[in-house]
Amino acid sequence: MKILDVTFKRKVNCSANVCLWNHWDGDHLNYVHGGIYNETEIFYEDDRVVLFYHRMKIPLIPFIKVSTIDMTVLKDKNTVCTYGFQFGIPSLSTATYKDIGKDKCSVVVNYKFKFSGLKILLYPLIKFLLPKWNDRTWYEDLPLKLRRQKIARLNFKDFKGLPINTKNRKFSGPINFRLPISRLKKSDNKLTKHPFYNFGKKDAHT
Amino acid sequence: MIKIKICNLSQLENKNYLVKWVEKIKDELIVFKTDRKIYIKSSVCPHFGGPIAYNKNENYLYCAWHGLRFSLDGKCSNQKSFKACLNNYDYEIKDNYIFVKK
Repeated sequence: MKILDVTFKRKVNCSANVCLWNHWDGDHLNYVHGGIYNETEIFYEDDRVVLFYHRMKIPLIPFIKVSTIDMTVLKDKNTVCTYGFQFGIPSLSTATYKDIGKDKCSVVVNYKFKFSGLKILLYPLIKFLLPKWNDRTWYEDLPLKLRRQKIARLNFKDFKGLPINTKNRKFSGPINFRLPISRLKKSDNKLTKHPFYNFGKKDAHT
Repeated sequence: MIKIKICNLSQLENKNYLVKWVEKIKDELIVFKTDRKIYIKSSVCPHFGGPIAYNKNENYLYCAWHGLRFSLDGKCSNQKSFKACLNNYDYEIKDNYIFVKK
């Protein structure tokens, strides 16, 4: 058995709660990270957990597509853990977002992959791909986070927009983050017939 | 009412659309031209605040973050349950410049 353990540290000019929102907003994956994610669905979510289904391309080898189910958990108010099973390899990614000043936070992401048997052969490939994966998603998400921070300071309300009155377009209080985040209703989604859909909780998807 | 200069008409000719942050009204605007008319709308998607772009070929606006589409009247066209609209701005053209009115 072999463990791959890699950590990336960065800082960004937005609050930790904006980063948390971005982490939880799975609906942007197919658009903002369209070069990686082909398909994303949410099978279940509540105020701590979301179960994602992803179909994604591998960086540098996009003709290979992997289907995976990831369970993402809000471990505490700063930490998000994602348990995955890409290529049949168990993985845990832990993202920690901490405010280090007004509208500024540190981001630490740790990846752990547990290789066993013949899958140890994939160790160098995953080790090589991981920084590229992290870099790519980071820079694709960066404008989204900065914009989200900017509109939060303009008193933007999800599903409503900016206040009508220009005088009300300012907000200096703390930026809130609450799970589950509001999502669009998926009226024509095939998954509404899927046995996992809304499993365990009514209206989890609305 | 205030009038704010947004762009020159010629700036629109070569582009599908133009996006500009306007500090005085604290909004980001998208200016675009169809075959018949110029439109000015907020380019802040009322869903989660994503950037709005204009598809000239198919004549609709869309959000780059979550794929919401908006018709020229500002209503969402691909999510029936989504009721918020893109803010519309009146404008006037003077000496080849577009001025937004608020």
